[in-house]
Amino acid sequence: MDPKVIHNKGVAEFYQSKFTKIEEFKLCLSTVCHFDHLNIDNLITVDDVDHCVVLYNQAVILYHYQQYKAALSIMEKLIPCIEPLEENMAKKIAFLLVELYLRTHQPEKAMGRLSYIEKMLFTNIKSGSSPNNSERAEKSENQETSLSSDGASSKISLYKTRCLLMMKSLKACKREIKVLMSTQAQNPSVVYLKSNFEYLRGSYRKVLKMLATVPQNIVITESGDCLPVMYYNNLGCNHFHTRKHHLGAFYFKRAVEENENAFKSVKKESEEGKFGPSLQTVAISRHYELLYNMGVQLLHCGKIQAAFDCLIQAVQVYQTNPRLWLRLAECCITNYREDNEVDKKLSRRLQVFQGSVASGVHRKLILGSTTKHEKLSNNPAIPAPSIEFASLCLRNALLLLPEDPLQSDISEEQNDSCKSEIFLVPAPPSNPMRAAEVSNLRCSILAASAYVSLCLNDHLVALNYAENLLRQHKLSGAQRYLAHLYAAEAFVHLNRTTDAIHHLNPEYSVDVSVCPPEQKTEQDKNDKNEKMDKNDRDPVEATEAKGALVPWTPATPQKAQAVLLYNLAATLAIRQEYAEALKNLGESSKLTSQPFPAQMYSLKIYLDLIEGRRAFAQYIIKESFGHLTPNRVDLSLLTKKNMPSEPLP
Amino acid sequence: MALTLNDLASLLSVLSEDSTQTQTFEVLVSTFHHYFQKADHYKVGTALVLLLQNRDLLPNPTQKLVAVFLLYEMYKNEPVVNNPFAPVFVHLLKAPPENQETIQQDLHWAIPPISSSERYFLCQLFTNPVKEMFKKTPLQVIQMDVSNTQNIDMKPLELALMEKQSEFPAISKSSMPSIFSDRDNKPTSFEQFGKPGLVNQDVQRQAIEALLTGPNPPVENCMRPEFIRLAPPLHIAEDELVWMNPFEADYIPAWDTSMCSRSSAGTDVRRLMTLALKSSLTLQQQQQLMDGLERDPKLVYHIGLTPAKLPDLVENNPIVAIEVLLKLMESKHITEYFSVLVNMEMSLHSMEVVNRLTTTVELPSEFIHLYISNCISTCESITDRFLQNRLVRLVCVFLQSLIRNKIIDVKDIFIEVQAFCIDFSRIREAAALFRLLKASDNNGSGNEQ
Repeated sequence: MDPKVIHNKGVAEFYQSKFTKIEEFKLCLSTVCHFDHLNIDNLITVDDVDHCVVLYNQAVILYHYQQYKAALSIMEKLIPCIEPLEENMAKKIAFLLVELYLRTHQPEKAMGRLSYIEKMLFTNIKSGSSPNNSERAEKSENQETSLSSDGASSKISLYKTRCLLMMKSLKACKREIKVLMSTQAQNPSVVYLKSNFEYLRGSYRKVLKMLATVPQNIVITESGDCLPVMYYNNLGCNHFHTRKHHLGAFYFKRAVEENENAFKSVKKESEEGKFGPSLQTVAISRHYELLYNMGVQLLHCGKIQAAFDCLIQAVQVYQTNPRLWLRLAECCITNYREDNEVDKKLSRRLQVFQGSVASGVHRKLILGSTTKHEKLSNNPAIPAPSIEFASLCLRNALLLLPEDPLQSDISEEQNDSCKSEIFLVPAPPSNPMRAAEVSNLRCSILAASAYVSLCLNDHLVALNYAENLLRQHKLSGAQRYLAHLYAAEAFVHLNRTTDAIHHLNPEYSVDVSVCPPEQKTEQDKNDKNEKMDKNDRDPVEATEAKGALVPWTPATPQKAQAVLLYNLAATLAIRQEYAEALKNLGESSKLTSQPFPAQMYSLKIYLDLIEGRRAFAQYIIKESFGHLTPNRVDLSLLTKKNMPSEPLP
Repeated sequence: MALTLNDLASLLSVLSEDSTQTQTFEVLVSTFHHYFQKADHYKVGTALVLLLQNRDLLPNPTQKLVAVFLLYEMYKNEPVVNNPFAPVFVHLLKAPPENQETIQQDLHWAIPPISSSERYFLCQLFTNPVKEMFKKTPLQVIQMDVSNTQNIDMKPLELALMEKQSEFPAISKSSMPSIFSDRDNKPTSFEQFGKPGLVNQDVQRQAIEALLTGPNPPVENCMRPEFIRLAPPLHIAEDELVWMNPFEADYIPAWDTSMCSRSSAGTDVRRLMTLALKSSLTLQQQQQLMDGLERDPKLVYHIGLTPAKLPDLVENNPIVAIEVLLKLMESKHITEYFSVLVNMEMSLHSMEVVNRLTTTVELPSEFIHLYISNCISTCESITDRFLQNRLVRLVCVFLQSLIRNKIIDVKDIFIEVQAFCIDFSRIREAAALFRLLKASDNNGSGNEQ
C-alpha cells in the first residue's frame, strides 16, 4: 500500500477522534516512517520532499508534548525542502519553525524565519497582483491588495511581537503592537501581548487595567491555553514588581490552583469520553513554570522553606538555568541569616554570654560566641536549605554561565565582534538573558559565593571570589562594599592583617546601592526620549520600577560605615592594637542605632578584659546583660581613675 | 573531648587538700599515672590550667603547687619548650613586679603569683631535677627556707617560647579564655551568714563539674574578636518571572495533499527520470516526461534530480536536460546546477546543452567564460590526436555561434581564444574562427571610433 495513503488514513482518523487517539496516530506515523526508511531520532538530511508532511506531523506531536528541541531538530532538517513544497504546507512548516524557535528562546532565529515567510508570501502576491513597492513595515497596503494575506500578515505581526518582546526591543515592539491594536483590540492574544509590553516598560498600573479587560468566559482556548492560569500568573508577576510580595504570592497560588483545576477537568473529560486528552490539552499544565515564579516570589516574601521546596522542584526541569541555581543558593543563605539586622535581635545579643555557673564566691560568667556555628550535615548533596548546599548551587550557577570575559584571553577585537551580535544566554523558563543581565548575575553569584565560602571557613576560596568580584566592571555599590568586607575577613583568617586593613578603608562604604549600575543602550535611550515626549508614563511608576524588591541593610552609607569600622576594630584587636581598636569601635557605635549588634558588645567586653579593665567590662555587663550579674559598678569611681576607656554610650 | 566525671573525680582526688599536704611528690605522681594515660594528658593539662586560673577553685597553696608540678610531670620527657603548657611556667617564673602600680590590670586568666620557695622548686625542676626533691611533700617545699638561694635566669626559655608563638597566626593568638569570675557575695547557705567569701565545698565541686565536664564544656571554648559578616542582597533580575501569553496557534497534523492525485503522474515521471539518467529515452518516453513536467510546474523538484545527477542526464538525454534546467531556472539552487554543468567533462552533449541554454535564457557571463576556459583546456590537454581534432572543431563551431549570436563580448575572451586558434591553426574551423574574431574585433573598434 502507498505509505501516503496509510498516512492520510491516520490523519483522517485522528481528526475524527477530535485529536484524542494520539497513540494510534503516533503508531501510524511511525509505520509510515518505517516504510519511507526514516529514522526520526537520527535524521541526517531529508532529500525527498515527499517526506515533509509525515515529518511535520511528527514534529507537531512532539511540539504538543513540549519536546521542543526534538521537534526543532526534525523541523530544521525540513528547511531546504520548504521551497519546492506547495505554498500552504510551506507556510505551516515555516510557522511551526518560528514557534519552536520562540519556545526554545531563540528569538533571532525566529525573526529570520519570519522575514523569510514575509518574502515568500508577499512576493507571491506581487507576482499575482500589480507590482507594488510595499515594504513589510507598510502592511496596511498589503492588506488592501490582498484579502487572503490579511490573516497571515496579522499572524506574522503577532509572532514578531513575541520575538521583539523576548529580545526586549521595546521600540520596534511598540510599532507592531500599535498596528495590532488598531485591527484586533478584542483579541485576547493581542491584549496579553500589549500588557506584556507595558509590563516590560514598567507601567504596572496599565497592566492591571489591561488584563482586567480580557473576558474570562473562556477557560481553555482551542489551542490549549488556560486563560485563568495566565491571568493570575501575570497578576502575580505584576505585584512582584510593585513589591506587593504577599499579594503576588497569593495570585501565584491562585494560578497554581487554576492550573490544577484545568488539568483535572481535562482528565475528567477524557475519562468520560473514554479517550485520552486531546493533542492540544495533553500538556496543558504549566506547573513547573508556575513553581518557578512562586519560588522566586516566596523567597522575596521571606518564606524560605516554601520557596526552597518550589525551586528545588523547578530545578529538576530547568537544570541549565544559572539564575535558578542562584535563587536556590539565596534561599539557603537567607535561611542561614535571615537579614543583616538579625545581629541586633535579643536572641542574638543573649549569645554574647553562654550564661553563669555556680553561685557565691564560685560564680563564673562564661562568654559565648556570636558567630553561628552550624553542624555540618552528613551529606551536603541532599537538597536542604543549608549553607553547604548553597555552595553546590553556586558552583553550578557559575559553571552554567558563559565564560567570564575577564578570565578568558579573548582579545579586544574579538570581544567587540562578539558584542555586535545579539548576545543572549538561555535561562529557561524565563526569557533569555541579555549581556547586561548576565554580568549582573555573575556579580551576584560571586558575592554569594564569597559569603558562603566564608561561612564554610573556606577562606582562600572566599578571597578568590571576592577579588574576582572586585575585578568585574558592572558590580553594584553594595557588591563592591561587600567584596571589600569579605576580602578583609578572608585576609585576617589567612594571617594577612595588613592586607585586610587595606580593604577596610572607610571610603569603600560611600556607595551601598543594590541596583546594578545603569548602562543603557542607545536604543533604550531613544525609547526613553520618546516616552518623555509622549508623556504617557506615570512618573511615580517610573521611580517605583527602580531599586531592590526587598530592602537590604545597611541601606545608608553611615550604617555601612558603622559595620566597616566595626570590622576594622575587630581586625585591629586581632593585631593586638587595642587602643586603635577601641577608638574605631567607639566611632562605629556612634553611627549605629541602639540596640547594637551582638558583636559590638562582645568586642567591647573583649577589649576591656584583654587589657585587664575588669571593672569596665563589669559595667557593660551590668548595663546590657543585667540579668547575668548581681554586681553593680559605680561608673563615677571608674572615671576618677582615668582609665583609657570609652564605654559604649 | 571533655573529661568524664570519673576522670575528674580521680584528678580531684590527686589534688585534694589532704593528699597534697601529706603525700610526697613521688606518691602523687604514681597515683596520677595510675589514673591517666599519655593520651589524656592534654585535656588534663587544660583542666589544670583552668583550675589554676581560678583561685577559688584551687584555694590551697599545696594544691596549686601540685597542679603546676603535674603540668611539668606530664611532658617531662620532652624539652620544656615543647610542653604545651610552658607559658604557665614562664608566667609563674617571671620576676615579681617591683612596682605595685603596674598590677592595676586585672587579667582574669592570670595565674596568681607563687612564693619564692615554690619558685625555687620550679627552677630546680627545669635545671637540675634530683630524686631528693620528689621525696618531699608539697607542704615541705612551700615551707622551705630559700632566702639564701639565687634566682635562676629563665630568659632563654622565654625567648624560645616567644619565637615559637610568633609563628602562630594572629587570629589564634587573639583568643582569650571565656570563663571569668563574677563572685556573688550574698551567702549561699545559712552557715555562711556573716562569713562572706567562704569556700563552699559542694558549690565548688558543682562549679568545677560545670566548667570541665559534659558536652562542649566551657573549658574548651575561648573568645576572640568576631566579624560582622553581612549577607549579600538578593539578586535583582531583569525579566525573570515567566509571563504567559495565550496564542491562537493551529499546529495540527497536516493532510498529505500529494497523495494519489499527483503521485500517479509523479511516479511515472520519476520512473522515466530514473531511466533517463541511465540510457537515452525513446521519443515517446521523452514526450511523456515533458508532458508530466509541463502539467505540474512544481513536479520538477520532486523527481529526484539533484545537481550531482545532472551530468548523467546531460550525457544520455540532452534534450530532457535542457527542458528540466529551463524549469529549474526559478529555483534557488540553479547556480549549483550551472556550476556542475560547466565543470563536467566536455562533450558534444554538454556543449549542446550549454549552447541551447545560452540562446533561450540569459546565463551569467562568468559561467560562459568558465565553460569556454574549461573547453579550451580540455582540448589542449587531450593526447589522442583524432579525438583532439574532433573536439577542437566542436569548440570552434560553438564559439562562432556564441559570437555570431552576440551572447558573449569578443573583447572579454579575445586573447584566450586567439591563442587557441593559433595553437590549432592546422584545423580549418580554427582558422575560420580566427578570421571571425579579427573581423568582429575590427568592427567593434571601428564602431567605437
